[in-house]
Amino acid sequence: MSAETPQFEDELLSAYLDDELGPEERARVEAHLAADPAARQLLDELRTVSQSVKELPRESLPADLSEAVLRRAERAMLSSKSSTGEVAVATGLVDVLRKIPIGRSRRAWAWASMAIAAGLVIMIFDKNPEGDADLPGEVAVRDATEVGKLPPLELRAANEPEVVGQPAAGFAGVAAKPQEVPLVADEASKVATEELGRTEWGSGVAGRRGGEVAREDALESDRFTFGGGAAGNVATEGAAMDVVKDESNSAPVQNTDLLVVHVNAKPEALEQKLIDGVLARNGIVVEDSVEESAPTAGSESQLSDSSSTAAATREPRSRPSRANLPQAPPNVDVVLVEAEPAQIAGCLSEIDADRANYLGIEVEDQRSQADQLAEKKASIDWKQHNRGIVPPQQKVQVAPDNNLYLNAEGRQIAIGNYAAQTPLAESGVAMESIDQSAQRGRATRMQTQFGGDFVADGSGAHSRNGDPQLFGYQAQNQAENYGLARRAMQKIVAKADTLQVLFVLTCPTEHAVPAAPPPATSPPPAETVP
Amino acid sequence: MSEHALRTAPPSDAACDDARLISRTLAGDPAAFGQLVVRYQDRLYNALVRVLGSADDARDVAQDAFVQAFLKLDTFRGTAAFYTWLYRIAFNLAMSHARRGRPTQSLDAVKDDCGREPVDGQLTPEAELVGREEVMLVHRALGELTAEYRQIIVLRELESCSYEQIAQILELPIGTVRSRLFRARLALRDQLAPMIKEYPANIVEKI
Repeated sequence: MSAETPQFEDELLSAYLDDELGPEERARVEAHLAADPAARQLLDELRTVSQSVKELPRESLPADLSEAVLRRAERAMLSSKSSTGEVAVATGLVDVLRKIPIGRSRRAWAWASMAIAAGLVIMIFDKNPEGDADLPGEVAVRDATEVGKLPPLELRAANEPEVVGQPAAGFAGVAAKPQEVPLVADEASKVATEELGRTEWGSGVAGRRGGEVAREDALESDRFTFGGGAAGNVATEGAAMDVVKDESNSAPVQNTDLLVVHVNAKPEALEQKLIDGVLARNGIVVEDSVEESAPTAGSESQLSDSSSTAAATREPRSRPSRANLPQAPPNVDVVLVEAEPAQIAGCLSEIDADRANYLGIEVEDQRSQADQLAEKKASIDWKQHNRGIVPPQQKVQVAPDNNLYLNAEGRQIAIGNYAAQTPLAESGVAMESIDQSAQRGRATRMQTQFGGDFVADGSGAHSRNGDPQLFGYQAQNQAENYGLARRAMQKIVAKADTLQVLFVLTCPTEHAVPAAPPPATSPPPAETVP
Repeated sequence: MSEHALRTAPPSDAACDDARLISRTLAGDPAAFGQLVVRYQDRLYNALVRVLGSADDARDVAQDAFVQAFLKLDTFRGTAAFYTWLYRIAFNLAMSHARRGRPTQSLDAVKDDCGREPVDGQLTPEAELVGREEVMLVHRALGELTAEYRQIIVLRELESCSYEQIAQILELPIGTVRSRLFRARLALRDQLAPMIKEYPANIVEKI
């Protein structure tokens, strides 16, 4: 009706075009259209305009956002404690953890193959008999003769056969064996090695390659191959020494669990011990303690050779001879850290952000007592076998200001990107200004030795040296790993005042470690790559 | 009976899927949210490109929006569609982004891209039919609108949102949606009119 304001009527035309009018209004508009050519004209124009926009070409998204989104969300979650984060963490962490195959055999494998690939020997220290208050709950691997004397741990294991994390079904090749291990002292080690033996790593892992795996599987495969392109390498791990938190020896159950963080670092980063800088910026000073214990009780070498039982059931790998361990550039670094969760989180954040130096990060959350026991048994077995071969740890002083190797870019990245958890970090000041008294955490570097033989033999490992695709994959999945790391951390955070974290840093062996011709069926240079 | 159920199922499938992914995310499975991102990112990105006029901005805001959605996921009550909720977050962010004063400049870049090659070098078949010149014209015209007008036009024309949905996303009363959309179209028409006069043939064909 012409009495109405043109505007109002016209506005109806737009809605009419969109078919958003009720029957009454529609009728009015149609009447109006019939009567008024100007209205028809306007309708046409509106339609034209509408069409012209509709026909704009669709822009395609340059790249999948989901990784970046999740990564940022994880960080934000942890720093801001959003309710989603808490809910997610609280209710779903177990599910998440279950996706991580942290069954004991797998860990043992990961450790061992990592050692193999890197030609590494990891020392594991006996717990200081005096009960060193400085490092409570430190790894305690008893002398082989004490196998039978592990009642406390055993008991606990028997009482709490909690099983967390089983190799996911999707993880082909890994026998997903439930952790129902009869925890009897005598059989423990035997069972452990059997368990390890049952795992078929070669086929499973070898088949896994970066981008070919689905997300969940990828995660596992990622961690899997961490131990080394040592994929096929599989080998011996049998008695993979593992750093097991011993909670039983002297004290009642402690409220900290040992968290193992695998970090794939660039060789330079490893050589320069950049991790010390990371730790220091979070208030953790790396010190090296001396273990006076005898070789047998104290240090342990984790070598690829394993007790024959384990090796037998896996891909046969010959045992490299330890007799002639050449010195090689370090490609594995192990640091035991005890600090507040916030500090650890800061370290993880920094490592994750520092793409210049670190290629990947994974966290394993060791929870199952049964796991611990089994691994411990396995390591004891191994230790027994290799007694007296590895020299005690050497003392190395690492002062904070020795570690400012982080290049400008790296420092910038580190400072700029990680959620500052500590005053030290927030200040953005380089380490010179670290006040010892401000130190809130401590770290101990575990001496490592390495053998060239291992590297060569170790593998069967498909060398991942300079394989950009794989590194790319690693980086890509860092988000996943990192996210899980964060979640794992949050759960632990909920429980503990301090955390014990074992940082295991490895790097792809680009170094020319003298490679003895692999006796077994392994191709050349092995690889440590997560 | 099952047949009937099947026939009526489809419309709600998407919503059910979303709900499922959401609850899985809240249960601690980030991969589920990753799927949600994958599900909506193309659409959201596309809409944001048109609203913001810049591919980079669109990507940034899209990412921001998803991150925000993730962080606030537990506040999503499920009364509206996830899509609506997500877009609300995104468009809020886009408005803040736009207010920082970039659109016009960036639109040029987009215009050029669309004129010759879209950001990723792919023209849809429709675009090819329409003709690149036309696309450029419309782009330029869109760029001359205010961000508010651009938003509502994008939601209606590109996302095919109902007025109700637009109302939810932009948090406006329906009456306002109606009038604003109308005025936005008028504004766009005014921008396009001189161009229409130049290229009447192109335009007329579409009517």
